[in-house]
Amino acid sequence: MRPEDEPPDDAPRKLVSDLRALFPAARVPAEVDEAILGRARATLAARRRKRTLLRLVPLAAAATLVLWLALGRKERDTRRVASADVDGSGRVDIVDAYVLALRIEDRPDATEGRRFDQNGDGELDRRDVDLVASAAVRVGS
Amino acid sequence: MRVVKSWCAALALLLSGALVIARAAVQVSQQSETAERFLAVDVFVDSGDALLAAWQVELADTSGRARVVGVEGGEHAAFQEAPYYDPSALQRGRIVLASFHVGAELPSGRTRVARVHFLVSGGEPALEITPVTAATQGGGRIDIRTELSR
Repeated sequence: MRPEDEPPDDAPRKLVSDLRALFPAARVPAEVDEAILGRARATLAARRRKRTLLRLVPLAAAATLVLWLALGRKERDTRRVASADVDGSGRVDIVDAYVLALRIEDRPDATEGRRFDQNGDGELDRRDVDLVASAAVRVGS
Repeated sequence: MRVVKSWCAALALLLSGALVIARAAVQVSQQSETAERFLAVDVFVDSGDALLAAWQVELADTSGRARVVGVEGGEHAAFQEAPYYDPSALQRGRIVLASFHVGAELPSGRTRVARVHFLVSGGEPALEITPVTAATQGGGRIDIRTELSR
């Protein structure tokens, strides 16, 4: 019997005994009780898992976004063009183009090529040299 | 009386001749002021004892009478190809020329590195050349002297 089914303390005894005779306590088998409790526990556990997963979705999205930005930056860094002031003199002139041409003669590896790439194609070749030389002789309008 | 007439006739003849000559002189002068002509100028670079591997100069006409119409290479094998220049400098009075050579056969001393063709209107242009920079073999910067020769 549930506590709320108990009669109040000040209820007349006769009324209480008559009511108990009229509505005998329902007998629920222990297995049924256990089955109901088990199903309730399983439902609550499923809800908890679902809530946990829902909380993880924004975190996973944020992590994916951060990863994408980081990879994108790495890609952009790879494609970044080098400064045309190759010898660091503070200005772009024909000596920069000459120094760049000498590096090509030395057959640079891929890393070295990317380091001095001028046109953003990831390689160091004659086109990069021509680009620097053209910048050196440019006449303002 | 006859003598006076002869003198007057001679004077008139002289005056007419002088007028004709003066007018012709003015016409010639006007034609020479407006006539256009081509002028080829050789560009020399003197690197002294150092081998010349790269050079850059600026060439300008301060009179405004000359316009660049063409650029050729120089005399030494290292600089026989036309140097780098900005195509937009053509038809103007100022141009920057530059070239380099990565090979081992390099000139030293006074070398003709380029020839520039101008179209000149009117009188004599005032061409000036300024060295910008130069390098010897390997990329080390060197001082150079520059010179123009017509």
